[in-house]
Amino acid sequence: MFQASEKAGILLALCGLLLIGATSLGFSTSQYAMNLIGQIAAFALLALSLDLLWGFCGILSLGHGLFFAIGGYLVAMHLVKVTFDATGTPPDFMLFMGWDSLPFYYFQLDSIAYLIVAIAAVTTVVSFVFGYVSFRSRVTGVYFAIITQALVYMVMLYMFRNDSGFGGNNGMTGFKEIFGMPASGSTTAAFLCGGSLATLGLCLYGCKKLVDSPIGQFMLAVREDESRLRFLGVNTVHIKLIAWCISAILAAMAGFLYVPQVGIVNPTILSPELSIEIAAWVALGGRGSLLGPILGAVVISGLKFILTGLAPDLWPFILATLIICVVIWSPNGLADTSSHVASFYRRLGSLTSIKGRSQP
Amino acid sequence: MTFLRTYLLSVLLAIAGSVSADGQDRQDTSAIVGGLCSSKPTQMNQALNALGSFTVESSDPLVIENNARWALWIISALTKKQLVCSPTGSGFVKGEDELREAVTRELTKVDENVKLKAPFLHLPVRPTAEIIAATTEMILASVTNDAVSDKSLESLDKKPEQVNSRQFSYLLKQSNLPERQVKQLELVEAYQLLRSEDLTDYSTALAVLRENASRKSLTALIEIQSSLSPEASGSKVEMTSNAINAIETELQIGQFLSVLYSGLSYSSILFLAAIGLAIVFGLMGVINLAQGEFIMIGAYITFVIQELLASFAYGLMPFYLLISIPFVFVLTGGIGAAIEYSVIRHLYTRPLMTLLATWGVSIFLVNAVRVLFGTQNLEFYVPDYLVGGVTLFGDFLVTWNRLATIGFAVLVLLLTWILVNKTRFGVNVRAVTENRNMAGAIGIDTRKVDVLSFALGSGLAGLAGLALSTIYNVNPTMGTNFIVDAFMVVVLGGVGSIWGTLLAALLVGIVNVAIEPVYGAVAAKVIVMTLIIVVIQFRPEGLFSLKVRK
Repeated sequence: MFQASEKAGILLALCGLLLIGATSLGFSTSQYAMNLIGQIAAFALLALSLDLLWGFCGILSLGHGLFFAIGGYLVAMHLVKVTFDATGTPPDFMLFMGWDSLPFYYFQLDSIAYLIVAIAAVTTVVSFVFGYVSFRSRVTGVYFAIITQALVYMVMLYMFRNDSGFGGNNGMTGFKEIFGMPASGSTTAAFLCGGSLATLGLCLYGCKKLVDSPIGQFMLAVREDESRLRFLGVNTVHIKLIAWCISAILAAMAGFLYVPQVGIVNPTILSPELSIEIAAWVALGGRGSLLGPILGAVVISGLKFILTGLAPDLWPFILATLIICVVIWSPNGLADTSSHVASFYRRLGSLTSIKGRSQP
Repeated sequence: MTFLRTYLLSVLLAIAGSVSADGQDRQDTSAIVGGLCSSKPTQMNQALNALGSFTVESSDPLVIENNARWALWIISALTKKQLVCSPTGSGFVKGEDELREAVTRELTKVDENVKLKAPFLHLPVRPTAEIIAATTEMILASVTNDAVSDKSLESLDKKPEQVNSRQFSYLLKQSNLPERQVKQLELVEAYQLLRSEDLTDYSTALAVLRENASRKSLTALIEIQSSLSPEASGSKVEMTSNAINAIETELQIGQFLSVLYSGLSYSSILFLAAIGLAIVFGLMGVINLAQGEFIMIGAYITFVIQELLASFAYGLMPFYLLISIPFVFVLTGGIGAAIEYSVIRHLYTRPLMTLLATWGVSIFLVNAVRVLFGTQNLEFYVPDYLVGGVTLFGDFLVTWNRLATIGFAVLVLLLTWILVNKTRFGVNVRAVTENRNMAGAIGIDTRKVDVLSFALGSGLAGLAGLALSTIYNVNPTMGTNFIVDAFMVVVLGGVGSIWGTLLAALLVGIVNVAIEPVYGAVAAKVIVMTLIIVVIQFRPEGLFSLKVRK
């Protein structure tokens, strides 16, 4: 009936809702664990967004951190605005600049509905404009990857400026209250974690429906042979734009979920390194499968959380070795593991059957 | 009582009776020392100036030499706090365990009850002391026919208005100075003449300043302009504003040239980094995210060689950059070949995966270097022949290290062009770039071509690291600063084209350097990005793309 990714999506969403329900009934959980799971869920959503683009439409973006940051920065602006309205003192980074009130673009951001509309609008406009210009001039493959990388680098340089009103190199932090809840505390963490899990589950389910729909089939066709599709009279620019914009919105949602959980946003989430790391999650997990990249994000960011604490010097070497090995020997990432195992069993089976035949 | 009276009388008579040159000098010098001992800034400055004039009072070279030596001795004692004064105002110079009378330079002893105190060197006194010492040194040098040191000329140049005029007019009369130093003296004179009331003097000064346009002369002139009253000196006002305009224009041209110049030097580095990327990309369709790390490794190898030379062959230190060239090229090339052989050859059919694999390589290299050397910036010894530069036009300073970088890049460009266009290896590279299967079919070892060109690309990036080691910061993460720009160069220039890479490197480099100081790094990147997107609209494969069968 349901396929694996649909099942997993529903399961994740149910887990998330259950967590939210249990917490509102007074069930208490470990704040650290909730925070960790919630952050990893946000990363998984980010990996899913890139997988939809790269795994199903064949477009590699090395600048997905940009959309992650749009979501993250807007939600941080909302939190800053709420804190400002409550306390009346502007955040430190504005005091440094000598500003005593928020700049005009914080207008109305204290309303959550407006915030969500703003995130959707900004992400769509940015992704549409950039996507339209690049896809129309047929920038593909490695060229597209490089240009997106340059884009995210450029925005990072801008965000490092202290006069931009976005916190400069220190970023925005010191939030007093998150969506009407106190900023720290196990209840808040559990709610955010539950929300992230539920969103991840729903997005996974939605992505599965999308790739099975006619548009999803066209996306696969673009991945396999874009020129042939174009010769058949299909406007591939539209298909790529749809994939690109949906992917961007998913990434922005990930940022929206991530920033309240870590309580800070700064330009490092715009660094090209993070954007490449997202691609690494997808490649390690397996492009073209929806569950693989989620698994990749969970495994790698989980390992990162554990190992940066235990052996901070060792972690980069482990990550590098892991990436190189997987890329060389397992082109489809961890998703290939099952076929590796299967072929191993097949070989084992054929060995025993040969033995069996030789003893009549 | 009577005794005292007769004594005083006889002293007075003696002074009045023998107003010899020697006695006059003795009086002057003790007045000078007394002034220095006063510990009051104005009196000390006056005394220092009197000391300066005193050195050139006589026309006898021997006397001048003698007096100049004495003046230098006093000034150096003053600045080293060795000049000590008794409460009555007589000065002594403290040696290691001796005491000399300041005026006569004779050994002396002072009663232990007399408290000797060094005069306090106030802030306004220090430059005067420095300048008088500098002019006196020059006078001494001209009398003894030694060469005048550039250092003393420079200190004159810093505060031209404080130069003692009598010493200075003496110096101007000397003919044994080299022309360059005479020019410098004339410039110093011009600053003094600016204060003159005489119109011809003033116009000469303006002419000299115009010839030596600099920020400093501009500020001096603007200062003068604001102090002039318009009705009193109409022609002076006009002359001044003309001179200011001329200097401003020249400064602007000079600034334009210096932006162009530092843009060129940045472009050279970019070119060295990007040419390897472009060749490898054209050949194998592989984008190497670790190219920035090859730059870093090149710089680190240079550093290691510098350290080795410093401990084993100190005499060769000034040439360590030249000595490093072959080592850097071969070693970085070797590391590149090893990476090609172990990682990249598995991934030719999957170019996007190479991005990730080379990113893994770059993390590995950055952290390996970090563990081995630490994260701090490396300190490079800059050989004497790369220090400083020559001022060509206005403020436009051609620094030797940047000039060397540009020259080095041009040399590498020529060698690469010859390698690609005139050798068998180059023919093979071009053949494989155009059609890999066909090249293989006619017997070219395509694997060998791949490995060698990857090694070449890495080696060139290593040379970029060597070239920038004396200009930019060298640390494990420096590669990321260059990699984004290097990619832009490749995308803009078109793959596998030397001239395209050159043109794109010039464009990106100069745009970056020209825009950054004024509008910031973001604006520079935005302009380059827009440029790339516009170019790609018309030429999807870059400015100079090869026609390649796919």
